[in-house]
Amino acid sequence: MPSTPSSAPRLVLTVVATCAIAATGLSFTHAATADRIAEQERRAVRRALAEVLGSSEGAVEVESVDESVLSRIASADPATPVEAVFRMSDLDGEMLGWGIAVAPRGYGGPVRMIVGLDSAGSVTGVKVVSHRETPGLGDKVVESGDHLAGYAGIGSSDAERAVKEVDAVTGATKSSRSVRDGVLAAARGWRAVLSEEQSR
Amino acid sequence: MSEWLSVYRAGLSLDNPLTVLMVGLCSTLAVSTRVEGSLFMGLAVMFVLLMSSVLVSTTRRWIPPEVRIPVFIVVIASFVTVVDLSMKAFLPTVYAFLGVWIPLIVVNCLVLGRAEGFAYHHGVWLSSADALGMGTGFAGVIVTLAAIREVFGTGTIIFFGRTLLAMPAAYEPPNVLVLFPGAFIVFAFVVAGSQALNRRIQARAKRGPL
Repeated sequence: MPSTPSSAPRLVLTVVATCAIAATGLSFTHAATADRIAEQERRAVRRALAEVLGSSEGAVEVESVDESVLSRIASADPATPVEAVFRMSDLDGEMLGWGIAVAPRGYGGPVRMIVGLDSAGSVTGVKVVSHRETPGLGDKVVESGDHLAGYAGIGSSDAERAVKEVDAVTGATKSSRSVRDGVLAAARGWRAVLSEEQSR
Repeated sequence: MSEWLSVYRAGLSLDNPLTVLMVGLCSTLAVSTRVEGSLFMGLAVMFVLLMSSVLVSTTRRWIPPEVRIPVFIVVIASFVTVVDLSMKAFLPTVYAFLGVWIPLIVVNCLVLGRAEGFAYHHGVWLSSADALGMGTGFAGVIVTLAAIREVFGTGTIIFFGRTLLAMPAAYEPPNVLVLFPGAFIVFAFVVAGSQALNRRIQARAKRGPL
């Protein structure tokens, strides 16, 4: 190793060259993986959407609602972020219900999940798309179907009372509460906006 | 070749990054709740270690000592991003579990420490031995830790949907093992075990080669 100090231009040049090479390499990696990553995320959401309405991936038509409708739904429950709302119909155009993507706060970060509502506002299913809950403990709440299935059939009109009848999972109160918050946000959104949107 | 092997072996036992040097513990304690995730964490660290060590040791003549740390960080961060993006694209379920810990390999002292402490002062040949040894040592310990925590903490080891090992049904898994205190408790036992092992290796070395 040279013990004499290096000149300033040389230092600058080394760092700039390193960064340039790194950036080039990364842009290639990004180009090679970007499509697949976007596809994986879309697939996860689509799979969840079809699942919460008890249908299969190929048998549903998914359509996002307008920005203005989405923001009105989001303001119905300001505590829980609503990320997207989808109008779901089968291939003949028959209305199946709504898929509402919410991201309530869990124990380790946002729990991104899809809440399915039928056209009468009853919960058809809940499915978690991504989460950071404690492995082996909180993740049982969001990954096992048993707990989530407890929310099926809850009507939007009396959701506040009905969600309390779903038992939380022992040792994972916060994770359980996040699911409850998500279902509540979807139900409030339906009551405030979607119940009228229906007749469109 | 024997020098290569002795450098490689040091990473496994006498200089093990986790049980002896105790670097990179943060991510280790956090992700070692599942064997599946831990294995890929180990592989990811091994890949980043190997690539950055090889690159640093081949280009070390042109890296002025004044800016070596920023250069190392850029090199390491790039390889970590490569791992991050490819895992997101090809192993979404594993990525969902490891999540933030993959990007955080950038600040894992283990990787920077080996670039600074070893690769910057040695040739490619020995640096690759060091990186592979350290990587194997890291992966071995993290998987051991995860296996103990998963089987005693949840009752079963599940690897890509298949149950590898299950406790008898009557076993009531104590939650504490998969929570953070459990990480420290189990890690202490793993350290104690590996210290005992290292002491025997050293005692044998003192007696001279057979």
